[in-house]
Amino acid sequence: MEASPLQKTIEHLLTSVEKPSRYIGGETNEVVKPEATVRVALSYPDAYEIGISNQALQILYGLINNRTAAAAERVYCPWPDMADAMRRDGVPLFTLESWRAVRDMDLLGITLQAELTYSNVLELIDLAGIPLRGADRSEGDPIVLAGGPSASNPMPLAAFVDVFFMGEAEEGLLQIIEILEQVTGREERLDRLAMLPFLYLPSRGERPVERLVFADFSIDTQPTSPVVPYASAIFARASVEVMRGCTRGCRFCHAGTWYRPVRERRVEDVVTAGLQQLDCTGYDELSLTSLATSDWTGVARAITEIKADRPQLNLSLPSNRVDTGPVALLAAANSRQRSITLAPEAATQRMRDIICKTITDEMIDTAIDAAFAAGYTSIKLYFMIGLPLETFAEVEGIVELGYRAREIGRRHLGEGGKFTVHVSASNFVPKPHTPFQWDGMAHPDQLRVKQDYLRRALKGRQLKLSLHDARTSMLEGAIGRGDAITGDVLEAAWRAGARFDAWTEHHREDLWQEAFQAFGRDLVAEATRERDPLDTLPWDHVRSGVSKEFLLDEWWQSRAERPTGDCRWDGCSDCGACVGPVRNRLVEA
Amino acid sequence: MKIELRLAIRDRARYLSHLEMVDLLLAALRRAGYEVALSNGMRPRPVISLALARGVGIASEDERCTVELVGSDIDLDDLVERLRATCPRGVVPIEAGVAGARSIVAEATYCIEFDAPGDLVAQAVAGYHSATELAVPRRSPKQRRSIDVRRFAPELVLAGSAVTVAIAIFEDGSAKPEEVVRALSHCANGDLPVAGITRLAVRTVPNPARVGATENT
Repeated sequence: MEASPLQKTIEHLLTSVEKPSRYIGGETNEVVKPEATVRVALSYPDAYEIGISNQALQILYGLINNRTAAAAERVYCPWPDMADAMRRDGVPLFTLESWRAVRDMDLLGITLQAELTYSNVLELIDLAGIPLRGADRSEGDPIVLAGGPSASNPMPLAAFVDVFFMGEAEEGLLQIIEILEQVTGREERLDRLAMLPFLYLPSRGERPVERLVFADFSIDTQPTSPVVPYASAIFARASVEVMRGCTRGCRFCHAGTWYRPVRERRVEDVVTAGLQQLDCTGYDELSLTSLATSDWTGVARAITEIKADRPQLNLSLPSNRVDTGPVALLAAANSRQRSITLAPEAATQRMRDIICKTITDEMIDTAIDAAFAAGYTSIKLYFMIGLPLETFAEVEGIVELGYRAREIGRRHLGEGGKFTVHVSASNFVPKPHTPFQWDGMAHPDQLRVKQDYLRRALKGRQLKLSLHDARTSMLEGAIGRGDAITGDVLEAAWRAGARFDAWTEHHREDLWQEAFQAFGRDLVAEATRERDPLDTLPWDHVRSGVSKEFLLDEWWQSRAERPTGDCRWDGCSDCGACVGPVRNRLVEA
Repeated sequence: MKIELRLAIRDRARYLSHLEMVDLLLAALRRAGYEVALSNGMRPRPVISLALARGVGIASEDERCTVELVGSDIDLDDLVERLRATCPRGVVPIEAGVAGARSIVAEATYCIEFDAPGDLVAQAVAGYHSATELAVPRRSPKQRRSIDVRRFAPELVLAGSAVTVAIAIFEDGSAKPEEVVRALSHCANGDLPVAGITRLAVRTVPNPARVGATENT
């Protein structure tokens, strides 16, 4: 088939940009459907290597392409060199599969996984040649839809997105595709979409919108043939989601609220899906994913069955709880991997009670000891600083725990043993729909003092420290709990050149500060501002299923330094998430 | 069993880098049901190598890949057939043979298609042939130096707006097809826009001195 003028121009651009494979498509298991009547562009607003690794988009890509009349294609945010070249040569944003213009699609679906990608959302819409603001769009423009966890506060992007999807998309997205198949006009489509209770359409006014829960959590939605990325992807491995939701109740955790209740998949289904995926992709690694895979009641049996079938397989279990069980399981699972991440989140018992991380010092020490005993030589300990009610004792506790872990390592491997205790301390950022949504962030000066202390105190042989940039954390905090005016700030910052804010080489704090100032606001003040529990929050019209009363009660419990039990084992705490068939479902219970 | 695969890299696949090509071939072999042998040592790696690095954006009708597969009774026709089904778009297995003694690449032939009138290209080729030396600068992150393109590519064959060139690879280096383009642009006193470059053939010669060289890419 003769290449179109657009395709020829794209080819010309590829000779002059970094990593052209980001834009070529054609990967194994890619789906091309020229005969489709409804076309959807699915996008992750970051570079190819980040976006292609996103499991949610792979699921939706497979589900849409399973429909006869519909086609899903992929588009990621062009790197600045490519974006500049596209603007220079008048090349609109195009999909990887067919190199068609995104503006010719029926729907542009963007997943919002992190607030620092919001400037890239604007970049995508603009590069596509779609009017930036929803109010300026007309017949012929595709519908811009956004979903994913960060859509739970839609207000900062409300001016730019036509439709927000609240919750888990497996079933709801197909309802949307059905409407696109049945109705053709843009306004008529939006009118029909406005009737679905889990969609928020800013153009139709602020009304309560309910988070959709995929109650069935059937294995059928798990892709057996996901697209196999080129080598540059951050994750290139088969993965099966074994469980959705977590009821541990960590008070800082957005996913802990947004994905309730817990739904586990059957071991047989997971094993079959995992082996199928390995065969269809050619990967040599399988990851069993969830918010806390070691909590999955089927984990031990699944490991045994998978290892029996593929003894040489590299099996990874990310997101593990701190206790000896997961360490032993990991050792059994993976003979090639020598590093393990444990997440105490806070180093003192007081702070762990505040954040509802129900583990003890003894459990942490036992886990570290078991990890070294199992042969791991790199132990990563993950903490947060700047948490509500934090004192300097909590930061000193991180240092003490780091040295304690080193001592445990030395007991196993000797004084000069070859191992690393890697302490990672990120900055607490309050998220909507969590008990800490009313709390402010720590001031950046405080964060820097604490980071400086960690740098000075935690150094030496076998110790490694990594810290997060306070500037990007502040921006995340200021946008994440933002309102409609934050959207104006976002547009001003993007127009001034902000994009790829999560990448330190592209992050421009000055542009953001100026943008906030232009609207009479201060970036740091927005991030550090505490909210009054009596105030209406910008995301109050979004019903997560977990009641505001429960969140507020949890906030009070945190002030009392009292943890709350996990409803899987300690009885219902009446959070509101379980309704009808939507409730905790454990496979081995 | 050590196999030499010959592949074509066409269409958009030519924008894949060397490392990306190695990774996708490994995955394609696994999907086809073959197990790639691992090297010995502390960090075993799959025994696979591509004979000659290909510039990103250059297509190829003669990409050579040597790979060691576990097993001794591998049907080579079946291997090609199965790989055709598992390689991504634009990566086309052509044939497979049992790898012989170690060899080195002595020459690679390219077809350079210009997006310029044939007489302009002909004028550039004439200038190229009349020059005794054609130095083009080569910049890398570590150093800058000058390459005499004519030393490696003395003869160009013109056909319309396309030029075929065999580039020799000596022990002390070689020229890149893009450098031939720059030399021709110099001879044409201006930019000669390129429509596409394709590697047509690779010529190898036995090199006993190289036995024992690093196997991995």
